[in-house]
Amino acid sequence: MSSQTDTNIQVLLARRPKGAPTEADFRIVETPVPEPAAGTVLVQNLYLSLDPYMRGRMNDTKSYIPPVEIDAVMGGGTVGRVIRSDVPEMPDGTIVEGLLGWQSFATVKPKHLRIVDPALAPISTALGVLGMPGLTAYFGLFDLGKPQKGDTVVVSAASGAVGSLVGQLAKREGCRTVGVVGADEKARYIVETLGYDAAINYRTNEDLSAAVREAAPSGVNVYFDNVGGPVTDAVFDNLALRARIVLCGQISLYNASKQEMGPRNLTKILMTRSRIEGFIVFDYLERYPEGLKNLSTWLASGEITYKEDIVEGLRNAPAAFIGLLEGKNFGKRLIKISDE
Amino acid sequence: MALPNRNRKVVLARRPKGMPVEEDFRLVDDPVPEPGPGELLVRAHYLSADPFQRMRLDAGSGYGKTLDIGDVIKGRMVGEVVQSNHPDYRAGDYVEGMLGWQTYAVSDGSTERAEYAPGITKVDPDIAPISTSLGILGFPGVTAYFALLEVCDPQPGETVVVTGAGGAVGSLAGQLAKIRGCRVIGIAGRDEKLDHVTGELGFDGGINYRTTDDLLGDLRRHCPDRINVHFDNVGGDIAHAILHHLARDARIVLVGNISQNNLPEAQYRPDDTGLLMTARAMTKGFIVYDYEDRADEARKAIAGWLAEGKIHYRETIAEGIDRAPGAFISMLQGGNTGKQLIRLDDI
Repeated sequence: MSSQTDTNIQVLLARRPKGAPTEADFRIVETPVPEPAAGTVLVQNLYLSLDPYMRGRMNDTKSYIPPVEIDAVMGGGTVGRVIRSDVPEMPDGTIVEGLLGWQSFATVKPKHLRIVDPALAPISTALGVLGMPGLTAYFGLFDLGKPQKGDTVVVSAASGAVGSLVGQLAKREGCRTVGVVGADEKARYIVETLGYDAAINYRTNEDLSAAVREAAPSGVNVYFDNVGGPVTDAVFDNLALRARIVLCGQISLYNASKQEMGPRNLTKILMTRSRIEGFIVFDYLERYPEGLKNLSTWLASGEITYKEDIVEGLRNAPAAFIGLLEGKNFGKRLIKISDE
Repeated sequence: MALPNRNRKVVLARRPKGMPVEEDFRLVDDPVPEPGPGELLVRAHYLSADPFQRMRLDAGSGYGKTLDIGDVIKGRMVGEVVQSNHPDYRAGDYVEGMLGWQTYAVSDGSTERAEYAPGITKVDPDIAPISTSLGILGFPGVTAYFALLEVCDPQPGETVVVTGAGGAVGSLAGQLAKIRGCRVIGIAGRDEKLDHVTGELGFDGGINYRTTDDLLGDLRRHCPDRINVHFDNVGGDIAHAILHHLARDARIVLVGNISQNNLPEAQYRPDDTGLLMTARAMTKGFIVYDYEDRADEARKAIAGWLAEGKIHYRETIAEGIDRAPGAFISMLQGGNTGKQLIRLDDI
């Protein structure tokens, strides 16, 4: 315990990756535990969330959030415990969630933290089903996808943190759900455990367009896209009239050092009067409470379930992140930084 | 009235490979048809050449029935009723409809127009020249009106980029955006078109995509506050460049994809969908028939602006049905300024 509380282990960005990141793109350092200034609290991180969007932040390109600087701590969401505080509303022992980065301790102003109720669900869910991935699934599906009873909803990366929830939420609305995944084990999981009506393994299927047609015989009404690339092309071949396409992630493209090429057949969008819309969860900040309330209700009633893929130790975060980008995770990938 | 007993038709001779050539079409002469009970006979004055017709020539097009070899080319006409057995129409009335590329057509008087149905609409020659029923007061006008004002809903001060800016739809879309108080930049492939849209039509700037070697640089220069609305008639590389300069919450309406419709096979290009995500942009496909029950609302508004002199239109007219295939091919290659028509005065 002493080394854990004496030293702040931090994972820094050592250099910008070319294509897929390697462990040499990261550097792990030990620094003193920071002293909280007046009006800030010291948080000991317990879980770190690893998410595909982090790959984009390693590039030196402008995006919806600025890039990580070289030699800076990698950014990321964590759940932790307040261990030193002179802030009355956030006393020692409070469990909080925030963007505290790939490190074991951080000082932060309380306004950047969200208090997590440990009685509601395991605190790690504040990074998954009851956190940003859950809210992404919730607002992306309901606000942009607008699923109607009887619609066919296709979800790419269907076993991931976001996709696994999208399928369950769509099923709850009375939709036919089709998940696209990259392993037979994941295909079985989404059908048997998450209740997807059909699964397509994009790695082993030789004709994706035909596979989507078979799984969605009356066409695709909602496409919740976490992936982009050839899966998207196959779905575009099979759109129903006035389909809604939620662009939530493009993980197939994040590691591409030169841009992937594809047919990108927008004539299909025109002909079917479909709508493609880009989605960023931060735009829904004001409505997070609504989303969290519903998701925690459905979680408690057993209507939705989740799966976590927990890797022990901050020093293993780079390898775990690289594996995530390769689809080696099975469920929401987290780093356990410290015992609760 | 003595009618020449000849109905000249343009039929599909074979399916085009890529850009159509004149040999893909054939002229056929038949006797003028006799209208049966409840039917009327229309003599065409103008035929319309529209980009949508290209897709109908392929086997298995996007939607609706495609043409078979030997079928009359699907196309719109405006003409005069010369004989009527229908209570709602009299000889001398003008009607517009999807009656095909031929000099005479029989109609059952149906007004059903959705999805390429051959229904007809009466045209009032006192409002504007009857040719406008195929252009600014016809489907191109209705397309520009709803695709821009309803789907994109441009706000004063926003920047609107119109591709295919010199065509029938694009030239009106840009003018409607000006009426809304937007900054409007037109993209076209000939300087003559750009002179027209930045001169008579009042666009704020124009880009010739054929002669520029830095389209994205031109877009940045003309659109310093980035692009809020892309009225997309063309797709392809131009649409791709525009994606790189979108403003937050941009709207893209897909009205046409003319750059891609004449390619023998799908063109591969960089996957750019991630750019839509970071801009939170919306891309929506548009088919004018979805607005058929509100078309009069658009026609009235456009006729009003036309009468006030707030909008202008231009026509490119080929003479004689024999020229219809050539006029169509020229339009697909951007040879027209404004609406491409075929006039049939001497039949």
